[in-house]
Amino acid sequence: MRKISFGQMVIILFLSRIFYTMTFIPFMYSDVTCQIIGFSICTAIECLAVIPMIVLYKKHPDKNICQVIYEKSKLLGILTCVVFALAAVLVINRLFRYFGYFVYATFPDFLPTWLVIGAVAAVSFYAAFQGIEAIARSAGITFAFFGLSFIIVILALLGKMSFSNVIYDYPKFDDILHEIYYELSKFSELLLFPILYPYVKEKAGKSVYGALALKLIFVYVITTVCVLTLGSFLNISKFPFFDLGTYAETFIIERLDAFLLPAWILVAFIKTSLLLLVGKIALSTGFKRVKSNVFLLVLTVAAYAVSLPSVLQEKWNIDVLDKTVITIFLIVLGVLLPLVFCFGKGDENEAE
Amino acid sequence: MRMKRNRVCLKKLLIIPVCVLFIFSLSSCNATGKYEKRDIDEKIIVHALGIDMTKEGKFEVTLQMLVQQGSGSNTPIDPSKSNSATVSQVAETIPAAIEQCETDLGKKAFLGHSELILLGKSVTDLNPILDYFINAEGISLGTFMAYTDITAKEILNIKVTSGTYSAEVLKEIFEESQKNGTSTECELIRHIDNIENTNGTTVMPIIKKIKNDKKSSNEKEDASSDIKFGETESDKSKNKSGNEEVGGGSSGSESSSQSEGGGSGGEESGSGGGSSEEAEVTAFYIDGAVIVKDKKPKSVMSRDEVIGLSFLNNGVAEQTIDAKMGDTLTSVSAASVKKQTGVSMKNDRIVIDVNLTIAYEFNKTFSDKEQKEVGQKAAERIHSLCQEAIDKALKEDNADIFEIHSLLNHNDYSVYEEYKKNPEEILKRVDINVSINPQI
Repeated sequence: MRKISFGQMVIILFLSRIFYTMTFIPFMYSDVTCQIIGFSICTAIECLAVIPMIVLYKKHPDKNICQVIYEKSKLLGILTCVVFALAAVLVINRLFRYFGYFVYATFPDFLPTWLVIGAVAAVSFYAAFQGIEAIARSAGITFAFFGLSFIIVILALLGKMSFSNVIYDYPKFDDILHEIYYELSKFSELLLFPILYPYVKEKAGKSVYGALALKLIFVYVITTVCVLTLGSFLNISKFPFFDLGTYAETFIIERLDAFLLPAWILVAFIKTSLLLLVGKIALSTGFKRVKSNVFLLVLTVAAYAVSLPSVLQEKWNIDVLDKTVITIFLIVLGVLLPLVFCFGKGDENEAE
Repeated sequence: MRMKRNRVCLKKLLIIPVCVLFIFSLSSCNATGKYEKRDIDEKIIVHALGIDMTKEGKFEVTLQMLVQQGSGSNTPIDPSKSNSATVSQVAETIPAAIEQCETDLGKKAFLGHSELILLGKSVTDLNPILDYFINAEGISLGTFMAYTDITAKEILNIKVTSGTYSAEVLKEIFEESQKNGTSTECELIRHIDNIENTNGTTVMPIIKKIKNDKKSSNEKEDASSDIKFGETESDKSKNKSGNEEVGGGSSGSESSSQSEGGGSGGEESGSGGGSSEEAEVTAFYIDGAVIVKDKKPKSVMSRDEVIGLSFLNNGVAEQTIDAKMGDTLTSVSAASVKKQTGVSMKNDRIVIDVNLTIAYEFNKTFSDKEQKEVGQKAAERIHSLCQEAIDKALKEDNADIFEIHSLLNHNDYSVYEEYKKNPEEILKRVDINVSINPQI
């Protein structure tokens, strides 16, 4: 089995989360004060929520959660594998809708949305087909590109930031609760890590915390830059992160949104390919007789087919699915199942 | 072994971007219907938009766009000639008017490079305009938005030969005016931000054209003289154009005109191409500003009041201030260095103390004593400019253009909450005390 490094795992987990921050609420509910408080509390909850996964990894470093459950109960194992694949399809569906909305809102006359997400699905299929190593290396390049373009945009915006743009509201308890709940639904690490940890060479447990720390830093920086630059426009902006690019200018280039655009596409592609890979690994664990790439093809087609009606009808936000259903899936698969199966005897080559 | 593996992996990685490019290229082949592929020459690159209101309450939208006047030049764009043309249309809404302009030209308008949104004197309500631009596809948040004392169409029809295109010159005029404080901040995002925070208050600079009678910049009209914003002037501007008409194109619309920059450049609407060299180069100037309240133009600030406002908002990079020493009038260059503010409550009044540190540069050699004296005189002048701005905006119009909402939000949240509920009442209780700290 080809393995990836600790750093690559951190980047993979980080990029899978930062996609939502780049989209940053096309469907904004509460003001930025509640968002940042909700986000901070949710990150603390996430730090606790990953403990069962890490314990499971320590006990079974070479087996993913599906393998662990499959060995204890074949039926439950198969069920878990199917649910993991289903969750992956649902999260991809959400990603396709959000990405579709971005394309629809920003370039309505250039490309049909169904074709764009079809392109992302096709490329992601190829990347997942190549395996975790190819995705991890692509993620490294994407991260470097994302970081560089963001730094350029920040530098171009320095002169336009002002503390007088900061207008805060006293946070309301209900809004904070809502933000925590919403933030939890974006916690993709819960879905990715229990399947992918056997592919990490070392310190897999720490990689989750590394990703959480990186996420915390980037989200704080992005939010601060958005607030200092955009002011109250933040409350009515569809894509605040992208708007930073449209507002930034240098002596040579008038607007820098073109810098952020490729990063957005690449992050969407990395996240989709990771979720396809997770689905493929899960299904091939439960159904060993079928070739894993068949599952990959089925998952890609399924994710695209499920997303297509919403995209064609321009239903970008499905609240019940995006918040409730996905959050339940993430908590069951990423917290409850590892919690149940982290007890008992571990494998001999237990991770340090 | 490891190198071989890396090479294989690199090959795999290379295939991914190739796939992305290939598939996105395939996407662009879908060249029918809504997503019909358009080459760059099939698009109108709009550099400035003008919006006027007709007597019937309709929108007259003027698009200033780039046209190549490259004959005789080595490059497609000849900077020695006016490279702009305009097209106007009237419709019930802004998007409908833009669409009619597109129909007339047979091209799709691209607003992503717009540098200026100009509002004519007749524009009485900013609501539909801001609604459109907040949601407009691709428009930059840094686009300048300003008023004019005539119609936007007239201003955009003026052909400027310096620079690559007219809007570029207009933008440069705004930028330079912002530096010396004669123009307030006028980026679209700042207007939206102010309006969001203050229940519809902002301040927009006024751009004017220099009349044809070769008035020098010192002889410009006073901003506050007989300008009443909200009057429709579409009838005045109609058929004023002396430019070459390049197409009727009315196609059932109520009003339509297109004009293209002439070869010699520098022609102004109505001038018939005979305007002087002076008018060609300095065709516009910024003079005063419009206070917008409840998203409607309320009153006009004079040039001096705008300079005072710029000092108060810490936005002056360099402004020449006159100071009288005995019988002789001298001048110093003043620039905002630092602004310190404090908010306190005295009885029922909200007192905002503004302490401005102003740096001076002297245009003449003075002794230390004289420097202090000139500095003091200049400080008095700046103080009086600030006071004029406060009297006009706060006392007369009860408008928050001094970032009072932000100061209250940061210093006294309970008052800020009251402000959000009833800004009018709170603003009546605000006193602004200015002190100048000259830095010589």
